[in-house]
Amino acid sequence: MAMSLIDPVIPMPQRDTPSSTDSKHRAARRTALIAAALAVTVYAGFILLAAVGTQ
Amino acid sequence: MATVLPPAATGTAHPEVGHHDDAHEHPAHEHSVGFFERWFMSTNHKDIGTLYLLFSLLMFFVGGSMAMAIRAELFQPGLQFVHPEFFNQMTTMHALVMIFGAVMPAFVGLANWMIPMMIGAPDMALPRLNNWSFWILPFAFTLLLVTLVLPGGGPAGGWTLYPPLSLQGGNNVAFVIFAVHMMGISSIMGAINVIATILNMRAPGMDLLKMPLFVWSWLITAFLLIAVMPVLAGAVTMLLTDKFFGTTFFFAGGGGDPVMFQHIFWFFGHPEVYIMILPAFGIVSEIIPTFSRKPLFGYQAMVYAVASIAFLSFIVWAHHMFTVGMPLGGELYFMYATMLIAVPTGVKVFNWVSTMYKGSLTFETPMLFALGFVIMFSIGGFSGLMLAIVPADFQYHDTYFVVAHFHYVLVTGAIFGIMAGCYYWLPKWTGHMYNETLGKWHFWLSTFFVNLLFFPQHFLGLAGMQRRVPDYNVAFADFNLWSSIGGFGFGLAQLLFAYIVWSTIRGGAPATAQVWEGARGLEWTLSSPPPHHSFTTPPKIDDRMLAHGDVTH
Repeated sequence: MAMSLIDPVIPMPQRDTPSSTDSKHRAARRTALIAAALAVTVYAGFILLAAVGTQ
Repeated sequence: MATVLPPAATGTAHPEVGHHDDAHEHPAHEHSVGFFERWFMSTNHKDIGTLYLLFSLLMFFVGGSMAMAIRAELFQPGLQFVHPEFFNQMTTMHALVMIFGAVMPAFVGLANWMIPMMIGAPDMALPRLNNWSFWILPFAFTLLLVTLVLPGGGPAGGWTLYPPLSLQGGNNVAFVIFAVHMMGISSIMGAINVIATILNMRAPGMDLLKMPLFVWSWLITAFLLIAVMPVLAGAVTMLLTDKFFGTTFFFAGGGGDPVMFQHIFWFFGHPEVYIMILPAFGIVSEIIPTFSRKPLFGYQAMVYAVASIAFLSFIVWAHHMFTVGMPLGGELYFMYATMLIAVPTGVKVFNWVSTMYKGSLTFETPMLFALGFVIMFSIGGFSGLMLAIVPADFQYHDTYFVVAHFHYVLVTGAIFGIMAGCYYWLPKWTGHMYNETLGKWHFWLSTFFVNLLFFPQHFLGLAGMQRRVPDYNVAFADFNLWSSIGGFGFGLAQLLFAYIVWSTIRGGAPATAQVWEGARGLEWTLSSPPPHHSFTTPPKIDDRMLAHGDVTH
């Protein structure tokens, strides 16, 4: 059941082009990972810049 | 003008969209799961959206109570009710609670509810992350609010947390910094989910430039969040290490620079303003075409205007710091760059007005709040332009003129936008029509009192009354009296909103699937309330059914 934390798998919409449900899940996760990496980079980058700037 | 969808019966989806099974197969909220499993463990976007909205409403009243304490103390000159230290805690906490607890979660709640239904997706892309994003918030705000009863009290240095003042607090410093970190993590995870959902979960045929403006505004807002929330996190991390681990990022005696904190903070802080207003632009862009019975004027220009405003928000941060001191070239640059924001904002206001031009207008409560938004947000925009002028800002800085400006932007802007969205989508969420008469009373009372509350503050600021003071010269007494009366009236009017929401959830006239005669878009093809799991098979989209299917307008 999609409501449970134990099994939150939801059906993904199929596009006009052939693609599997798994590939849509992978694409969503890839997008999320890229966005998360960007956030972490900004966080670390600003602290690093401040550290260098106050040396 | 495109054709209008005929109302569909409650419990059925619109047949022409090709998605007509969900309502029959999954009646709304048919699940037999227990209360705990449903509300604490849910990964359903509608349930999590509801949680966000209820949490936001609770924080709205918590932050509002703090505003009442502030206005009670300022009702007349002299110290009446609270100690100055507590007054400073109230101004600081009011801002933190309203920004991070009320406005931002409200928009995330609206995004959770509406984005999947608007793009024909079954849910958010990352449902477990969605659950986690929400449930961080109650813990973050418990940590923040509990500081009020700690020895030494809550944070009192202003929501901007400028050092060295903010570091002079007692036990609250670590609590506040940890709470801000958690709020940031929650926002970033929510933004990641929105981006992953919009980029990967759109139904076939839902091209980017056919998406509703609300979805577009949230996509751009999500990128803003990912870009700037880590900056705030970095700034407060450095505050933490300065306070407890001996670093000197912002301590001049150790080679650091307190002004650097202000630059870092406002690099986050100015885009944050747009994080709180762009989704409201999206909501208003949905509502005005519906009640004008016309397609949105200049759809693509609206998308590019939102993107332009988002870009410009990154390059104007130092206009918050003109009086700190910077080279003349810097002042000129930040002044002109700030004024540039008026161009895409003007495009948006022009297009909203043009959408209404020769439209078949009706003035239901969502439309009233949307119109109130356009007019009063523009007042806040104009006072923002005044503040952008460097020599004038030297006079206005840290006065009640600034308080009036950002409350016009955030109350009559962001909060009126949220109210408009709530009234617009409440029948869709609950399956019941709200009481239109009470809704209009709520609008007119709110509009009267909010202007009584904030408009006199322009004059107070121009006359020289400083912000964040519990006492003031008797010369400012009259305007403060009016402002406080407006504040109490506005606060009481919001109890009416809570009653309207409560009574609509409990019952009322049944809402049709389309709800509003002029409404267009995928969300209106679902029953009211929508099935617990909607669009489990992707809808077949007919461009004529989309709000912006015909982009030649």
